[in-house]
Amino acid sequence: MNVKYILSGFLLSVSVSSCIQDEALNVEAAIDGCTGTNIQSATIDHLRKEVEVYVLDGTDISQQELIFTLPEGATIQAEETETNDRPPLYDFSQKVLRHFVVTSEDGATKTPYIVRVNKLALPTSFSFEELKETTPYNVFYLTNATGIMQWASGNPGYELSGMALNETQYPTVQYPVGYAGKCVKLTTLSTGSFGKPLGMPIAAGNIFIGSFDTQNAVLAPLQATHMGFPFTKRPTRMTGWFKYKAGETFTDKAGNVVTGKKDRGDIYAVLYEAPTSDFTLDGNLFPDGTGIDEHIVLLARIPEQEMTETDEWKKFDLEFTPQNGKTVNADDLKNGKYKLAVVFSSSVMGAYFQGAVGSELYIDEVEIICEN
Amino acid sequence: MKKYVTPILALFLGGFALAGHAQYSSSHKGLLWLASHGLDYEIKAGINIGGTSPLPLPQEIRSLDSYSPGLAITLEGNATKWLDAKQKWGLSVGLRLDKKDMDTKATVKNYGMEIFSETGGKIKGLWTGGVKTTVKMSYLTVPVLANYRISNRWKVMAGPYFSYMLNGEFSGNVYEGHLRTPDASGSRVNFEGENKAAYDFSDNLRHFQWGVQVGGEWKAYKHLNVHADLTWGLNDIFQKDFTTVSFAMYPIYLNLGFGYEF
Repeated sequence: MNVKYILSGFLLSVSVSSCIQDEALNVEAAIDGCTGTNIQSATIDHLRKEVEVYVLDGTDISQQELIFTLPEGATIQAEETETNDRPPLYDFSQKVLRHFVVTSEDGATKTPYIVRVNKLALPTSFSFEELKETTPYNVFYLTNATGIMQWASGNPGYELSGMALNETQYPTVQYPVGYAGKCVKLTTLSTGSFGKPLGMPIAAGNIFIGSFDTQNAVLAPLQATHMGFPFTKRPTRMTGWFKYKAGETFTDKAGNVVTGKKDRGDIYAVLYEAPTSDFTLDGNLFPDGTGIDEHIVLLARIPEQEMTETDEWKKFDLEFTPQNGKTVNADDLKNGKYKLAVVFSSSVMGAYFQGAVGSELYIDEVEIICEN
Repeated sequence: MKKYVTPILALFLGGFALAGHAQYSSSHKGLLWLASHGLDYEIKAGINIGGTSPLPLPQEIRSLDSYSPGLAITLEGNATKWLDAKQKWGLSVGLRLDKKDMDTKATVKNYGMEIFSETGGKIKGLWTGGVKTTVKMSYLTVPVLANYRISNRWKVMAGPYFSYMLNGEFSGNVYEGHLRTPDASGSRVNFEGENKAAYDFSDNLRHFQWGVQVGGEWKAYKHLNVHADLTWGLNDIFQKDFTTVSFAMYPIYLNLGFGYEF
């Protein structure tokens, strides 16, 4: 009987029982992305498990291509097949709303989804009255009438900070007292211990036409905001009402205080060229805050001197002016080659994580006025 | 609590040393008395090398990419009462200040985790990718061991130990991978490069821990012993109601060092 034997016996049993086990099959079942021919935009609602696919009016949707991005090993199937389905081509001509099920590699997770193909017609007046979701954060319908399209915001990204305990603590919320009826309230908030080490110490309240890509919210937050939907009219002016109050302490990307600098809200709309249907501009529309993306054709933006602090509702009336020496081509406009992005933010440099916690921008009764 | 422990232990060990010294100066009477009553006293110092690990490794852990033990020093004082005339069988009780440290990097798949913010809100989900873990724990441990003397130079010990965790850290970050939140059907969030999310489960560690200890001691000189002890935790290091880490984890450490026997 030797100590060495006892010890080596124990060590052996540790090493044997510590062996890496066979890999388990994946349990993930979700739709992470949806692309395909003619798709102008696709928004995935991870809360309700709904995918809204937008195509131009006049598109043949009897053979709509849908290429889903799925977790490793997962599969997707239409719940009821149509005779013309040839996956990844699906017939949406009979029903624009169809049910799909994603099954995980291990078969244990089955997630039902609704996929709806919508003919796109972007509305031009917005009053922020109706919510599609109230919890965990507010999601606004784009209009009160269609009940389909929704405003995008950075709320899904802010959810990842774990800071908000209820829907009122998000950067983008509905506020009961607007210029007329309800309005949207945008607040620049701290992202706490999660955001700071990631170079995202604040989250500006924002709301925009487009979609938010949660997948890249941490990795490439600027690229996670997909701005704009196809627009077939020539916009001339954007009008609306706002109230603004700047937060007290301006901080930079590292969260350090910048003394003497005052925060400012931002209101703008751009019409830009989309070379392909899946092309969208991201949060880097104005590189470094002063540049302008080369795809932008028209811009309407509130001037610095008009974005002042005010307790009373103040009107804005902004003219779309040509940019980059470009003009709008009438045929391309009709064929959906241009996209319109409308953006509101409580911190003008919020996309670069610079701003003051506590800055508040209220927006109501916005209208895009177009040429006939 | 921790700041009091080192002085307490120092006093405890010092007491042994003083007692030993006093006995020396009173012309070996004390030692003779001790020997005649079948009692041995010893102070030991050593280092802990090992890890805090689930056993067996759960399926969520796909590979262990790096491991580095921290410098974890132990100090112990113990007394052995020999039970038979030949002094073959004995029972020892000790008091030990134990540190158990390690740093690991592992690759996991669908590893359940929660990250809490300072508001008390949280983000939870399944993580696939890299996980860096730092475990640093300080214990006050009482080993109660059966001793068997094989020869004049060799003895082996085995028995349970009971630990009170004075302070503990279980923290780290996740990197290079994706989070599926809040569950397997939720949305995917990618992390790459410098993007890391920190986690800290230090507050969820259990204070009372116990396990078994098996070891051997070799008498190198008259008063100097060399020892090797394996300590194996038998209860989960996390509190019962803590479910984020879906598997139990146990500290398993080898203690190597030397001791002075009076």
